[in-house]
Amino acid sequence: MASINVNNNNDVCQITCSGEWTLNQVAKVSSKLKKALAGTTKDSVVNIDITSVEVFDSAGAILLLDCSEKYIGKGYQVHITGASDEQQSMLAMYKKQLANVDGKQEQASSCMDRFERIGKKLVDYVLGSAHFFSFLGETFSALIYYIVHPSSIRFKAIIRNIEDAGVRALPIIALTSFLIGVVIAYQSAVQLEKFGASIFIVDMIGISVTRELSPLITAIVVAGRSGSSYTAQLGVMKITEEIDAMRTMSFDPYRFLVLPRIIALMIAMPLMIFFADLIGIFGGMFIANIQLNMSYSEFLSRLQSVLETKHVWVGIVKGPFFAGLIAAVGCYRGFQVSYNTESIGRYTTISVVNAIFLVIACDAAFSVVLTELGI
Amino acid sequence: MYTLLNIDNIECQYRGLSVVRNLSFEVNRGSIVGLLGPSGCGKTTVLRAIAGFEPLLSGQIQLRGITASKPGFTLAPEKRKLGMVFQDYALFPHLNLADNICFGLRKLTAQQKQQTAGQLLELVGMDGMEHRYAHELSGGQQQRIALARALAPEPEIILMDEPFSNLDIELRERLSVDVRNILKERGITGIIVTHDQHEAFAIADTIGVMEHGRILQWDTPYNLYHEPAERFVADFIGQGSFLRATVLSASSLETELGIINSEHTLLWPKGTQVDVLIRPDDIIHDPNGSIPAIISQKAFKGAEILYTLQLATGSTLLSLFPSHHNHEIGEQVCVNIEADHVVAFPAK
Repeated sequence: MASINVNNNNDVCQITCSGEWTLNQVAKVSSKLKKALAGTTKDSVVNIDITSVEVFDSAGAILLLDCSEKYIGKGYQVHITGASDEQQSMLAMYKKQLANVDGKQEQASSCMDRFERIGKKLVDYVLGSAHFFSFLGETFSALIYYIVHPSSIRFKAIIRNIEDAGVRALPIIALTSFLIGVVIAYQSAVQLEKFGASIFIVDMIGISVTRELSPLITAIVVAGRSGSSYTAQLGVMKITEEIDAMRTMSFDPYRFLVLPRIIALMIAMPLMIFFADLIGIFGGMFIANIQLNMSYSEFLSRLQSVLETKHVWVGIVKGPFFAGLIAAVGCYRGFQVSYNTESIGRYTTISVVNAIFLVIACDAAFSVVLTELGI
Repeated sequence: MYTLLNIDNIECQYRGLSVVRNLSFEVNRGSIVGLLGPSGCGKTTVLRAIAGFEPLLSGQIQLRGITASKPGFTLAPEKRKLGMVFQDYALFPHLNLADNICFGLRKLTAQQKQQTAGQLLELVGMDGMEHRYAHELSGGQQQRIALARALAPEPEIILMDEPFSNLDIELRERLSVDVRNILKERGITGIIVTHDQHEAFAIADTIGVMEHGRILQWDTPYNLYHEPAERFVADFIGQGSFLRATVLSASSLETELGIINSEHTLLWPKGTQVDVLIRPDDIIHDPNGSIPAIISQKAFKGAEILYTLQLATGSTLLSLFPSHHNHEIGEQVCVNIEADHVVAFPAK
C-alpha cells in the first residue's frame, strides 16, 4: 500500500512517502502528490522524503521524477531525499531517459511549434540588434568622453593596435591584392584582345582595383585577421574576469578596450587600402606586360590619363567605414562570449561572418549612393 | 553606526533560475561580514550583485545611502568604487606583478606606485617579485597578488570571493589575520564569500549562513556554533551529531545518555521527540564515565583525535580526545556528557 503524508510548514513542504511505490499502487497517491506540489509556491522548499518507501519500482520512480522535474523546471526548489543508493541510481537512470523522451517529443512537434520557433528566433534577433545598438551607444558615449577629455585618450594602446592590425597585416594584404590584380588582368586580357582593345586593360585594372577591389579585399583580410582576434582577445578577458576586474577598478571597458581598437583600425585601414591599390595595380601591370606585351611605361602613362584621383579617394574613404564595422562587430561579439571556452570559438566565427556581410552590404550602399551622386 | 550597504529583499537569477531570493542584510562602515554556505548556494551571485555585475529581479541594493541596483536599473560596476578579489584571480597577463597591483592607482607618481607595490608584496609574503608575471606563479601566489591588487587603491568596501581558497592552511591563517588587521586599521569594510567556515570565522565579525539562496542565520561566529537557529546551520557549522531525545519539562530532556538540563526554556510540549545537537567537545573522555562506547572511526587532528563512537543503542557520537589518548578502532571506552547548553530541533 503506497501512501504519502504532506506537512506544510511555512516555507518548507515536507512530503513523506511510505509503503510500496509500485505499478499497482502508485495510482492511489499520484493525484495526492500532484495536489501537494500544486499547493506550494516558488518561495517554498519542497522535500520529498522516500526513506520509508519499502518497495520502489520504475512506476514509482517515474511518478516522482515526473512531478518533481516539472516543478524544478519552473524554478521551484524540489528535493528528493532519503533515497538509498539503489533508488538513487534508479532515479538517475530514469531522469536521463525522461530527458530523452522530452527531446523526442519536441522533434515530433506540430506545425505550430515551428511557427513558435520562428517567432522566438525573430524576438531573439530583434533583442540582439537592440543590444548591438546599445553597444554602439556606449561606444559613442565613450568617444564623446575622449573628445571632452583628450588626456584620457590611450595613444599607446592605439599605436600598438595600429601596429598589430595594420603593419603586421601588410604582407598578407600585398599577396592577396597582387593576386587579385593578376586575376583581373588575365581575365580581361583574353576578352579585350578579341576586340583589339588591349589598351583598355589599364582602365579596367586602374578603376576596378582602386574603387572596389582593394577596399573589399583588404576589409575581408582584416575581418578574418583582426576582427576575429578582437573577439578572441575580449572573449578571453571576459572569461578570465579581467574585464570585471577592470570595471571594479573604475576602468570603463569601452574607453579602455573598445575605442582604442576601433580608432586604430579606422586609421590603419585607409592606409592599407592605398597600399593594396599600389600592389594590385602592379600585379595587373605585370600580367599586361607578359600577356599583352604592354611595356611598363606605356601602362603607367595610360594609367595617368585614365585613373582620376576621385576613384582612388572613393576607395580610401570606404576604409574607415569598413574598419569601424569590423572592429565594432569584433568587440561586440567579444563581450558576448559567455563563461565557457567553447563560446569563444563560436563567437569568433560569428564575428567574422557578420563583419564580412556588413562590409559587403556597406559597399553595396556606397555603390548605390555614389552612382546616384554621379561620383 | 553608519550603514554603508543595505541589501533589501533582493532576488537574482542565474540562467533563468532564481538562485537568490528574499535576501536582506546590512553592512555597517568598518565591519567585516561573511557569507558562508555550501557551493551552489548563491553566495557568489550575491557578491556579484553587490559589485553591479548581476541585475536584480526584485528588491534593491543601497550603497552609501544611494540606490545602486533595483529592478531595471544597475549602476555600472566602474561607478561603485568597490574593490573586488575574484575567485579566479583575474590578473592581467601582460603586466608584471607590480603593474598589476598598481593598475587601479592612476593618480600616483611612479615612485609612489613602486612604494605601494613593494609594501603590498611584502604583506602577502612575496617581496622582491615585482618583475615576475602572473603565468610564472602558482595558484596560491596569484591569489595573493589578486588580494594585494584589490587592497592597493584602499577602496571603501572590498568584496572577496574565496580569497584564500588556494593557500595552504598556515598561510591562510596568517593572511586572514593580516587582512583583517589591515581592513580594521584602515577602516575598510569587507564582505567575504567562502565555503570554509574557518576562513569566515577568522576574518568576519558577522556571518550569514546561506542555503538555497537564502540566509538562514545572521550572527556572530560564536552564536553560529553554539546557538544555531536551524538544523542546517548546526550541521554545516562545526562537527557534531544528533541524538534523539524526549522533552521532559521546560528545562530538561531525556536522551539515551541520561537527562540533560537546558539553560533556555524549551518551547516544545512535554513528550515531544526532538534531536539534540551534541558537539565533539561536549563528550569528555572519562575512564569512570557512565557511558560505554565502541570506537568505530578515528581521525588524527594533531593536538586532538576525533573519534566516532558507537553507543550500545546504535547511535553514533563524535568526540575530541587529547592526542595522547590513542585508542584503536573497536576498542571500548567510557565517556561522559558535559553539555552546558542544549540545542535541539524537531525530530526528523
